[in-house]
This record gives sequence, structure tokens and C-alpha cells, in this order.
Amino acid sequence: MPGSWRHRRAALVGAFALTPILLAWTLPDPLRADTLLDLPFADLLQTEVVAAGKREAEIRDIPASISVVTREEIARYGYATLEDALRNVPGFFILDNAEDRFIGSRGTVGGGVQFLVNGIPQHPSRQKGLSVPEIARLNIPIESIDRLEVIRGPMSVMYGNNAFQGVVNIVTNALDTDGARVSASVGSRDSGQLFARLGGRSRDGFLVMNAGGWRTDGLDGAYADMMSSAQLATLTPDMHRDLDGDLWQRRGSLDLSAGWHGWSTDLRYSQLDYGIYGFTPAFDEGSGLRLETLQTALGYKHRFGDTLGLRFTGIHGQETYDAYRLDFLYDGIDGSQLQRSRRWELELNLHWQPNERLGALLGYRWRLLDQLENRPRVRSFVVADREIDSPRQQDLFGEIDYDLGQRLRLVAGARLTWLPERYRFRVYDHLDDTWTQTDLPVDDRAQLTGRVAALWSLSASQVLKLVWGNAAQDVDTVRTSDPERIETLELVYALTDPRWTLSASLFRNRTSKIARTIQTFDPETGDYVVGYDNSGLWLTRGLELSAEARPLPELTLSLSATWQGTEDQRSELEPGYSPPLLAKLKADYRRGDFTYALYAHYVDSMESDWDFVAGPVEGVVERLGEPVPAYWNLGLNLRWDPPGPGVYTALNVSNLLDAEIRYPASELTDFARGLIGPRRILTATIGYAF
Amino acid sequence: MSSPRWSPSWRRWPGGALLWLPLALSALVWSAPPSVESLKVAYLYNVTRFIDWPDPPTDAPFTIAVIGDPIMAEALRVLPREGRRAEDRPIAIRVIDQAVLGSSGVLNDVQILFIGAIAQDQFERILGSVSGRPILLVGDSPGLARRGVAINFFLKPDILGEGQRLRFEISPAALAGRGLQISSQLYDVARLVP
Repeated sequence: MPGSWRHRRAALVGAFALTPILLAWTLPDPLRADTLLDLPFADLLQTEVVAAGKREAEIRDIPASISVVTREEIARYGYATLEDALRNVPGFFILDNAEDRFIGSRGTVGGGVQFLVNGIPQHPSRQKGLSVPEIARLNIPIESIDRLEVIRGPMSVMYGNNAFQGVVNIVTNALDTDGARVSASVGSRDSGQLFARLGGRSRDGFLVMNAGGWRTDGLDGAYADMMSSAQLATLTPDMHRDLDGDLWQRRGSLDLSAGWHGWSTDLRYSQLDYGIYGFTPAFDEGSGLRLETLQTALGYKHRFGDTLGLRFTGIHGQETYDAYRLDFLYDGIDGSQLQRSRRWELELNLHWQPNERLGALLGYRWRLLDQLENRPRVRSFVVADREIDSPRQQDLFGEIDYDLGQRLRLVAGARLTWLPERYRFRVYDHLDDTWTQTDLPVDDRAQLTGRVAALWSLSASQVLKLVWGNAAQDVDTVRTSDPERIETLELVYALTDPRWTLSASLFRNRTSKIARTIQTFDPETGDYVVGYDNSGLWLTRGLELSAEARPLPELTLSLSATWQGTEDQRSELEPGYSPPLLAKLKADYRRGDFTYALYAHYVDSMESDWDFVAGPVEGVVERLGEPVPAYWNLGLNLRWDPPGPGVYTALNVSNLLDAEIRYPASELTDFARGLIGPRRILTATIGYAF
Repeated sequence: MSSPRWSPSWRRWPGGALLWLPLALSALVWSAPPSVESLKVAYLYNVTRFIDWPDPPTDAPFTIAVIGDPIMAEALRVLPREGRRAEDRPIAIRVIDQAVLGSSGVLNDVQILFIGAIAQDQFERILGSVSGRPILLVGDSPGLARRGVAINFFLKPDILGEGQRLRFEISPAALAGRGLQISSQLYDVARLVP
């Protein structure tokens, strides 16, 4: 085991051992109701509270389209994974290519989503020269999630590069929501999950630890159902004939979050070991990939009264992508691929609210990515060491929030990012014994993003929001330094009532500088050859409707629908991975200790991506695969959960109707008819809440 | 098909967690932060020290009535349970059903009336029932201070955006004509609604 991972294991063992000691130390002096009665006003004013109505307040007050999924909702609907929960968020859909998960929002896929855990930004998935799968960000046990806050739309002003399509903040340390518990689940496809959560809180501090593991045998479609006749004809007799057993997954994670007075610390370790499909069926054990992430953060916050606050956060993260076993192309292939990246971040935020009307935030972030390396090894094909010089980046950002009277509020913000002067790539080719250095200069080092919003309270229960924002994201190809850009204009209407809420949003996205294939004419050969640039331009227009009603205290109904149309302004072709309609339905009924829940999501049909075909004829294009049909995924959940501490159980069936779900072809899973998704899955859970 | 490869560290994971769990549980004591209702009760209890009611002290208890918020009513019961007093009288809690609001005597000897969110659609009727009476109206829904409630609770986000703090707004106009004397010290810790 490498030395650095020995140190990481020691840190984790230490965290386990220290937890009970730290729990005992933070115990004293809980705030009971009778204790509060003796506190003077000055102390009462500083007491933080648990507020049940926070969700409605947030939907109204945040200048963006936001969905909040609570712990209670996760339990009612029995989502088995974070992916399941996100699939049921309005406007979201997820595509699978076995190696990674691609989050789509409002009809487009390929834009980064910034993941935060307890407000701490997770490892970025946009790094030049590296393949950083998003799936590592999804390895958070569903039982540990207290709240899921999903903001749709570009949020680069507050969160920088990666917050292209939006932000997902996963809260796992809200002790006010849920306490200690353990649980175990078993289900179809030999799936199983173990989870444990501990936590304690006092006036001065808190400590929460979540640990979980999950396994499954994964997808199991037959190639005859996914490939075209021409593709099937290329298979050799020694290749597998289906995916069964090739796409297994083993996941484990641990997160520790603690605070004492103004200090806070977060530690998160995640490991995924899973089978992948790469270009051709496997011959033997299948390809295997391990993703390992360790992230630590230390923060300090200080309030200079009610009007001024300071927050400082330092983050260190490491991620390793280890395709330790490659089993494709031909039998007996000897190959692997190792990628690493390390991140250092320092961020300083100054919050100022001199009066009830004006609030301001000023922030500075410094970030260094180092130890960026990519080492593919496939004997006789490629044996190379690729390194990228450590890019540094600095950001200065600010936002002002101003109340213009009782009904109108304005929010404006900007972020200036100072990019590195150039990206330097060094490649050592073992086969040729050659060194190659490539410099990619950054033409425009000052990258500016902005956001402006107006929120108009039409009444105590109605708000109208007009939001404009843009974002930039790094292109992970080495060919271009220009970031991709998105600009969004959105009009949102929200109506909230104790018994129902309604939200409608009209949005328009202009996505530019998209990395795409182009054609150029080679006069020497007389052929049109395929090249790459970032001249892509898409225009998306859409409407999103959400409604939730509680006609009876024990009955909740919700419905959302997102219509969108995306045009490729550079070609006549429909962009791939862009379903015109997404819909989500949820209903739950609580009777006594039982909850009966039904949920469904609909994903419209969609095309796969397309590329130019090199040859003598200009403009020949080819899709990676056929369009995949629309589908409904219907789920049922039955939960028995008496109030207070004790046992709880749940029985969940996802894809109840065993609908055929297909993910469109991608570069890795280029099945002409798409990758067959999960069939009916039954999961039984038992847990104990302390 | 051979079984998938498991890394040795992963095999040890679940076992290690199970060994650690009883040790950690032995140190566990669960303590929850205060609910917003219990904090409102504490605020309300403090407020009684800064307001004078016109009626002289009698043998009748100091009565806090609640309409449209069963959770708040339950939280308020800590006051009589703890033997707390206001205006030198023991505190009693009275839950009023919206259906009997018009009945005579239902609001007799009530000093504070808390109007919950569930009773919002009856607000004008409630206001009519307490007209001219020395009853302090308290609420926790947006905009109530402008509609006639004297003290209205609201949640204010922490300056660092973490958690929320309970605050309240005072409407002098809602106090006028009820014969309640409020100390200026209370205005120092509240937001004034003109």
C-alpha cells in the first residue's frame, strides 16, 4: 500500500477511536425547554433554533429555482441511493454509462454540478487532462442525508468553476433533524447496505459521524438486446454475452463533522470499487475501477455582533482514479490506468449586514491543484506518464442583497477568477522513450461571471423572481483553454400556503464555447478530417411547473414537469441527451405508524451524441446510437416507523412495472440501442433509531 | 463467471465498524437543540416582565390562550408545569377551538392570545372578538404585525447563514387602545413595525 494511503488509514482509525471520547466531551449542558426560561433576552437572541418551516422560507427567499428534499421525505419514499433521490428532483435526470453518472438539468447534460457536503465544496470534476467521474460525488449513504438542497441554474458567482448547471448541497450533520441510528438493507441484484450514525450536541459544539457501505451486482442486460446486428457480428466467441456480473459495485464512505465554538472540521472518505464496460464486452473478470477520495476541511467563523461575520475555510482533498483491471478489446489485454489529483483551497468570506435592508458578502478564494497525473498502461498500445503542471487560481467575489421597501429585493453579484497563465502538459512515452511538452496559453486570464436577481413579494404568500446569471466551466480537454459558458435568464413565480405550494419557471439558457467536433479539409489527402474546437452554441427554452399539496394532514401530493427545447445553433441536428419532457409524481399517505408512498419519474425519449465522419464527403455525421424511448419509473414504499426511538422497517420497490429503461449510447457504452437500465428492484430495510 | 475482486481493505470495513459501534454508543448521549416553539415560550415568558396589564391582580391565574397551534399550546404547558408566574399570578394555558370563538366568556380573563398559522383564515373574526380588550395578541406568521398583532415572531438567518435566530417585531399601533403599558426596554430587542 502506498505510504500516503497508510497515513490516510491511520487518520481514519484515529477518527474512529476518538469519536466516543469527543462525544463524551461535548455532552454537557443541553438546552432544554425549562432551561431556556431562565435565560435573559441577550442569551435568547443568540440561541440557534430548529425551524420546521425553513423549506418554505427558502423557496421564497433564495434568488434561484431551488428544491429541498428533507430527511423525512427521503424516509417516506424510501430512496435507496442519492442517485434515486436526485432522479426525483424536478428538472433533473441522470444518465449512466457504467463508468460514470451524468447529471442532466433542464434538458442538457455535460454541464458541471458543484457538489457540497455540509457547505464544503467537493473535489472538482473539471480538470484538464484528467477523467474525473462524477459518480464519486454520489457516494454518500442515503441514510446519512438530512437535507438535499438543489439549486438549478448557473451559480459560479458563489461557487466558482463547476457550478455550471447548478449546485447540490448535501447536509449530513443536521442533528436537529435526525439522531443516531443504525440500519441494514438487502435487495435484488444481491444488493445490501449497512449504515451507522452517531452524534452529539451541546451549547458549545457538536459531533456527527456517518459510516456506510453498499453493494450491488449492478445492471445485467444482454448484448443482443442492446447492440445492432452489425455490432453483434463483431463479437468474438470468447466475449461475454451479457453484462451480468460485470457492473458490480462496492461502495464505502465515512464522514465526520464537528464543531466547537467557532471552529469546525469535516473529514470525508469515500471508496468505490466497481466494474465498468469499455468499448467491447469483457472476456474474463471484466474491467475494474476504484475511486478513492479523501477530503478534509478546517473552518473558523466569528460573529462581530449581528451585523458582521467572518468565515475562513481551508480544504485539502485527494482523489485517485485507478482502473486497475482492463478487460476489453482483446483477450489477455494487460492494462491499467492511474490518475491522481490533489487540491488545496483557502477561502475567506466576510458577511456584512448593517441593517435589515442591506446585506453584503465579500469573498476570496485561492486554489492549487497539484500532483495531477495520468498514467495509462496498455502493453504495446500505450504506456505513458502524463503530468500537468499545478495550476493555481484565485477568485474574488461579492454579492449585495438590498431590500427596496417591503416588497422588492435586489441581489447582484460578480466573481472575478484569475486563471493560470498557461497549462503545461508533459508526456513521457515509454514505448518511444520520448518526452513531449505542450503549453496551452490562456488568452483571457480574467474570467468574469455575474448574477442579478429581483425578487418581488406580490403578497405574503406570492413572490416573483427575475434572475439572470452566467457561469463558466473548464473544458477537460487539453486542446483548448477557453472555458465553456452558460447564460441563463429565468422568471419564477412561487405561491406558498400552509397546505400547498406552486412554482412556475420560464427559463432560457444560452450555452456557448461548447467543445465540439468540427470538420476541416485536408488538401493533401482530399478528405474532410475531424478536429475539435469550442465553437458550439446551444439555445434552450423551457417551462418548469411544480406543485405540492397537503389536502389532509396525513396526505401529501406533488407533481412537477419540465418542458424544454434545445437548438444547436451551429447545425441542424438535435443535440444529444436532451429529453423534451421530464415529469415527477409523488404521493404519500400516513396512517398511524405506517406510511404508504408512491413515486414516479418520466424521462422523455432522447438522441445520443453525434460526430462528423472523416472522409471525402463533407458534412457526413453519425450518431453514436439510436434514439432511446421514453419511460416511466414507478416506485412504491411501505414504511413502518413508530414515533420516538426504536425499530423501523421499510419495503421498497423501484421500477415496479419493470419498465424498460435505456440510456443512450455514449463513447464507452456505444450500444446502438442504448444501455439497458435497472429493472424491478426490491429492497427491505430494518433500522434502529436511538 | 468468477466472483468480482474485493480489495482487502473493503473486506475489513464492515467488521471494523461493528466493533467500534458499541464503544461509541457507550459514550452517546443524545441532546437536541431547542425547538422554535420552546424558544417562543421563553421569549413570551420574558415579555410578560416588560408589559403591565390594566386589571389589578386577582385570584384568577394569568392566562395565555392559544388558537390554531396545538404544538405551541403543548410547548406553553412548561410554564405551569415549572410553576412559573406572571404579574405575580400562576400561569394557566387555555386552548381555544376556532368553532367556539364567538361564544361568550371564551376569552374572559385572558391576558395573552397566541394566534397560530392554522387560524389565519379566521384572523379578522379573532380580531373582532378581542376588540377593546386588554389582551396582548401574539403571532408567528408573516405580516401579522401590520394586521393587528402586537408581537409577531419571525426567524432571522444568522449573519453567517448558519441556522436561524428567533426575533420578534412589535406594533405600537396594535397595542394602542388596549390599555397595555409596554416598557421601552422591549423596543431595544425588537424590530419596530410603523
